[in-house]
Amino acid sequence: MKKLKLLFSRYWRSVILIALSLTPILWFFGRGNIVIDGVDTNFPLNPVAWFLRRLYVWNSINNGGSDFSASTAGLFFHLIQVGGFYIFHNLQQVEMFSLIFWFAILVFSSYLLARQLFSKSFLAQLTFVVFYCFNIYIFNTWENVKVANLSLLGAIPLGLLALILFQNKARLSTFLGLSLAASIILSGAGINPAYFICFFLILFLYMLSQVILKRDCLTLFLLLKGLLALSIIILLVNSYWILPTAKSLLFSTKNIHNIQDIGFTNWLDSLSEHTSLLNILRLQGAWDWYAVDQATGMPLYIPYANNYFNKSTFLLFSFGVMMLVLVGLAIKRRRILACFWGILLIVGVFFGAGSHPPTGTFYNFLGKHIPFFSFFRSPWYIFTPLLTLAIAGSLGMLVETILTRVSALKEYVPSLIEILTPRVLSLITKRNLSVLVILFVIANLVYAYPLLTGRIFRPGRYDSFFVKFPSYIFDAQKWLASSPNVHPKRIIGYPDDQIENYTWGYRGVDSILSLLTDAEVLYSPLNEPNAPLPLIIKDFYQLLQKGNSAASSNIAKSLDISLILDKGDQSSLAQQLPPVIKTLPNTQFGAWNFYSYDASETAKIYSPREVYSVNSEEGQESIFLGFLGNRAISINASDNFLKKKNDLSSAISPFIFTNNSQKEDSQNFLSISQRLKQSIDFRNLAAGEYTFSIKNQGLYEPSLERYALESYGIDPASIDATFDGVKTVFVRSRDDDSYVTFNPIYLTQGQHVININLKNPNLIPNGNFESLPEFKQDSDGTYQIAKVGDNQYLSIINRSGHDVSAKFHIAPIDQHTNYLIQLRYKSLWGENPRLSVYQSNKATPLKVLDEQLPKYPDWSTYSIYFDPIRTDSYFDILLKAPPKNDELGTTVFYDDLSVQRVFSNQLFLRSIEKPVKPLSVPIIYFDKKSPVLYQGTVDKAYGSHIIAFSENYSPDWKMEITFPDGTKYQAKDHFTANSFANAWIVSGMPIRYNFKIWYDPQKYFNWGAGVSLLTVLGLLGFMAVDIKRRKV
Amino acid sequence: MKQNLINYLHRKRGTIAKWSSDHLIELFVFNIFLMLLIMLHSAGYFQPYLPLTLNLIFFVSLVFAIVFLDCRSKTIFFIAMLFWIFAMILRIANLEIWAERTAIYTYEAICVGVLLLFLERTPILS
Repeated sequence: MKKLKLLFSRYWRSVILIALSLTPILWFFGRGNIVIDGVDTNFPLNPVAWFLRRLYVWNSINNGGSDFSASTAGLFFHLIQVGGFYIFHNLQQVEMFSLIFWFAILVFSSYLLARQLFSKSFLAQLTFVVFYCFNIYIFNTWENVKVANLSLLGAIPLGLLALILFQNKARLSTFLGLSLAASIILSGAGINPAYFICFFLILFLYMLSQVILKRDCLTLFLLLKGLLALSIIILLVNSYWILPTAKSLLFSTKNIHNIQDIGFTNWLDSLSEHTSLLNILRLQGAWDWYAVDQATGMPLYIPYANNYFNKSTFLLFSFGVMMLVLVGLAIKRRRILACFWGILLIVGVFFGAGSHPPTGTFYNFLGKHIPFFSFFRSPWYIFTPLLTLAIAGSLGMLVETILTRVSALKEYVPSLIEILTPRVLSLITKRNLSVLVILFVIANLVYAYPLLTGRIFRPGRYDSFFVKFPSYIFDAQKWLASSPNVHPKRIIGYPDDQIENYTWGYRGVDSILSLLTDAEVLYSPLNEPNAPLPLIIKDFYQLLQKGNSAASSNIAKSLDISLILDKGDQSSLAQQLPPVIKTLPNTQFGAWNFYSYDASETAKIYSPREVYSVNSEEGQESIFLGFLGNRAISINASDNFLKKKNDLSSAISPFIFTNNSQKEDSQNFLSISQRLKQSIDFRNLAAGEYTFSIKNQGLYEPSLERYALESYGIDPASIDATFDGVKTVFVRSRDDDSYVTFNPIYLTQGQHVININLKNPNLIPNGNFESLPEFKQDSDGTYQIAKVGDNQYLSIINRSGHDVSAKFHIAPIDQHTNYLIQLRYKSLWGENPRLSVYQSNKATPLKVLDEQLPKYPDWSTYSIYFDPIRTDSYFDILLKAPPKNDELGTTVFYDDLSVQRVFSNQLFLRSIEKPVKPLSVPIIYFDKKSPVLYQGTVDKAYGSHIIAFSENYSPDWKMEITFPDGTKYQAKDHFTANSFANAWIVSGMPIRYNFKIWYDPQKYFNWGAGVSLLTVLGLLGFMAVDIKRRKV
Repeated sequence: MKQNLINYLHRKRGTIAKWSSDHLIELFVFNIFLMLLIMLHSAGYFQPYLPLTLNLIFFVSLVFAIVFLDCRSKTIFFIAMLFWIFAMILRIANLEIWAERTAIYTYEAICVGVLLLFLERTPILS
């Protein structure tokens, strides 16, 4: 016991720091075997796989792959998890280990800096550490375990310390050691290079404040030298991600200048909505704090936010901290430091406010005129570390001043001495002031209680990050890992929600499979949902739901899908998988079912038999793939590649998409926000009109989507139509459950029109009110079927104080098409008539459309399109007479109410003329060596052929052919196939040859990794020699 | 303590009176400038090219206070604190918009205060 006391008395400072570092243990305490995971918190359930992924600049796992250059920066972060995994094996312990490691990095790095800055007072150092590591800003960092934020926050104190020590001419090995540590810790900031730049901004501001105040060349020279040395070390150690990232951003063929160019949404304005200076100065700028439920006023995401907004103690403390910061700056006993904290505060607040007025004008100006500045799209999150550092620094400085120079209070606040009585003055002792400081530090820990107690992870809520993963998930993981040769292909998840929300608590924006395995997965992405492959995936899901098994199976072949994972534990509005899928071979793990397609028919690298030029618009590629599968590939007719001279031009045939007038009209209507002009048009859905243009005359085979044709009165066996105004009959030649193909027709060059007569029934029987339709009435209204001449209509008179309506019920609806709701009305008196559409299912309302009709006193037409949420549901159509505050109320006449489905089936034409030079179809064998390298052999290549590689297109994918004699040739004719994939046309090759497909920017990672490794080894060697030399 | 405070204020009164007589002209010019700016603001002068907002007037008045009234960083930070306390009161009273506006004045004062921290060491102000 005595020994323990002795140890404590010697190391009590370290004990306090270690205790602070162990904060993450509290997060798990008493919560069972949970893991903190979900949404942006991607804690890997397979840490080794996640680490290994970061050795490659292409991630082939998610949705056909993407450039992963910046993410390689997470190598060190995930290395810590791998280390923990090898030590503990238990995922909870691994996560705890990783979190404690990073918490300790923050605590100890800030302590090291504080020890240098406030060497005379441990309480000042503690104040700095506590305010730097426990503040409101950092809540979000920990909530999502943001690698870039943590890296930046951990590296800032070390970087500053290195610079200060260099300035103070400390030992070189100390400087190098600190620089190396800062470089390694900072590496994670590369995931979002904006954070990486923020680090240098802070160092630059330090140098600026020193140079301005000292105003001597020696300081300038010394600091410049130090900053340069530190920067070079950081850049060299981080070369492994800087080189490929710089290549992908600065030298990309995409010509990247702003954030939208790399497919990210610029959410600057929405994130800056609540970043007023008042909030920023109190570190309360996180957008999710302000999202509230409109009905209850309760926070939507951050349950504890109300305490900070409404409780006066919290409000007082939030203002009190900044008040003390200002006192610290005003005392200015250490002017140089005060200037540094001051400038950090100003710059941090200015940038942190983003586009919020009044400083937002300047921020927007910078965004417009400085290239890449739009990459700072989350300003508060990126720049607030400047402010937290300023706050911690100023408070540390204040504490040091008052504790080390109690007597100096006379100097700083002479009036205090004159006012206070000797008795009160006698209370101002160092001890009492220390107690006050300790209370202040404790108060801050209480103020940051969500961080301390783990409330930041929202325990007990539907969106909690505390997740207990069911065991069958890990059984599935083992199954997938144990048979990598059986399942090297892609897995597509179902249901198709962009956010996966599981009944047992996990919520994620990426597929859960990417956390678990190294299998390539396809799913509905939240980011870039309109990229080419996500659009095909979206249509694949829709085809599945429609029961179009032939088309969905063909798409599966093109996308190399071998498994459909039906997640029975995912809360979703999507309908169940159709029975035809459930008849496929199945492997079940708890609520998860893996349905297998015939894997022998699919391959990621294949050689198509045919190639077509398509005039497709966004989202039509799925029809091509659904129709032809992997026997053909398409190239966009406007692709510049077709203008080049190569063998493709003699092998290509046209594939024509027609414009469906009904589909086009509904899509145009729904894309307009102000649509009164479009709404007063009368629309006739009794005919489906298809227009198209032909460049190459010849024989074409028309095909029509099969879905629900009979419900429009169409007999697929023979369709009566008009072709360019001439009556004709399209006779079926073949069909399946997805498409009907008709006998070929000869088409000349030019524009053509095909009209198909439809029997598109009104889903509201007797909507013309000639006989009484079925509708629900409100008791307060007066409803009457009135008659003028031969015409009958519905009259609604409302003299009550609330809405009165006639409610028409339509159930069930066809969820796979849009609807046209059309009526005639006459607003006789009172308020504007209203038309409301409610889409609901048994459990909940899904979508509401409420249209105010223009107040027009004569009969007028009004029509709207409605795109329902794709789920089993019903409609309620309400014709309203709103209340008016006078005796006469509102009188509205309604007539000819119709609700019709939009006929959106696509018609397309495939040329069946033989190409000048048909393609050879060789056999391809290949191996995926890594995400960036595929090697294989092509056999039986008897002529020109195409190698299609079903991974997202990038000009950086290269193919090299090795001849039997060892000579090598790099294929140059590389083009985009099927709107997303890579393809090469290869001619003049031997019958059998080897090939290699690789992602070229990997070389930058390899070079960079070499430089990084050499730098680290060099620095370690130098430090070892230096330490040894000193010992001698 | 109350007596101490009264005595203190009594003594300070003399100091303030001396300072005022020493800066009489500067105070006069400062006030004239301020009044002029407020009048120009109310009449909408220079709009739309340079809107004379109250923010701008406050900022200019801080700068004038340095030039004419020899204000130094301590005073400016004191002004920032006053506005910050005022913002706090408004925020606690749930007058969020007013509190936001007041916080803008605090920020402006902090900017000027930090600038002075630098300038006080230069020949311009030292």
